[in-house]
Amino acid sequence: MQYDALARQFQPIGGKREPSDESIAAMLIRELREELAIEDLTPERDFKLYPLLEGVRDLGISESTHVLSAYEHSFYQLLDVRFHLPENGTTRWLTECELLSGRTQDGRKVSRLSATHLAEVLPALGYSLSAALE
Amino acid sequence: MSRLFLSLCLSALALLALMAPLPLSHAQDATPTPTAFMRVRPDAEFQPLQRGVPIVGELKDARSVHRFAVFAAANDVISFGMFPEPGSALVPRFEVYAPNGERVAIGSAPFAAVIGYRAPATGAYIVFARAERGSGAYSFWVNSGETLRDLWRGELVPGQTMQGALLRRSDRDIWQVALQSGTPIEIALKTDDPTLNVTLAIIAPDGTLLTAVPGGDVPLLYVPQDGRYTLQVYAPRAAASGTYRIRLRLLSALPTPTFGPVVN
Repeated sequence: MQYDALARQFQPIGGKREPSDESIAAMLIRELREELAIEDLTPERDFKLYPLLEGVRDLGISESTHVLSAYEHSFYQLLDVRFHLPENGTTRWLTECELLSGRTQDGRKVSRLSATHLAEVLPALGYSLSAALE
Repeated sequence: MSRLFLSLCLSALALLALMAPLPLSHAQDATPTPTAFMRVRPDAEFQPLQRGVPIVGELKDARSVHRFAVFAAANDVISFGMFPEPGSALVPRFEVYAPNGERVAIGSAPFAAVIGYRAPATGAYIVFARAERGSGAYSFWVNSGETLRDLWRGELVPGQTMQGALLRRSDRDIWQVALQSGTPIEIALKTDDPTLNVTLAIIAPDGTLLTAVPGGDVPLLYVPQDGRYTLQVYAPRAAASGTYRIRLRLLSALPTPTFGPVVN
């Protein structure tokens, strides 16, 4: 997860599809390069993308602009990662407790996006929600 | 010999005095008008901005973002500006989002301002203030029209040349002068930098805009009422900054035409 200063919360690494993005996968690769600040990231060589959930429609208030927005989310998993995932104050793994409670240990907000769809995402990852909550 | 030398010296001094440019009767300093301001509350979700009231904050690092909101009606013309405070190492940058969430304007170095933006829709406009580079204190301004900041210059003294300065683009100088109804006046305005094109607006005591003259020269104007007149000097579209000189002169009453004797 990554802390977004505009939205003032931790969010999954990702972003919005731009007109120049040929596909959702292309968008995700662009966002990975931008948000992890690693320009030389090549799919297949450095990682593989595995779709978890696609076309999840949602209506909500944007945390950045507070505008009522219609979203269509797609969740992907990175597999066979062969690059170093940077960890610092803004980019780090969150604990299950932080994800589900919506707050980090230091009190910062966490996007509800992952928690909301965790039940659908976790089975695909080979877990169950109840196991995650224990 | 010494008397001759003394008279030569006196003549030289007199000549020098004649050659020297006329001193300004009143050189205005470059201090901005003291104005009310707000302070950034970093924990605020979206701090509301007020037009004409700057907000002062500090961005401690490159990742910090301050969030503001300002209301605008459709077709409102508004201006935004973000400037480092004196001594600040911040190179500012800001982004404006329309009520539909689209980013509609960016202000960034070296002149972080968006002047004369016409709001496309009625609603809350969101501003993200951040650092292009560096960190430090800044002030953020929002105002109606194309002026971000009014600088109070003081009283215009009729017959005296005064100096004004638009310290940064989007500034507007304010002068005042008390005049009596019916007085004919002349105003001469000269910029020190030929690229600075200013406009002079004259506002009557009752708030009526009498005239707005590109260039600033007013050869003749009859004052319509008693009271204090406000003169505004600004560069349209905030194109430039610089100094200028202004002089208001009270003209003598124009002579009434006299007719010759009628000869039968």
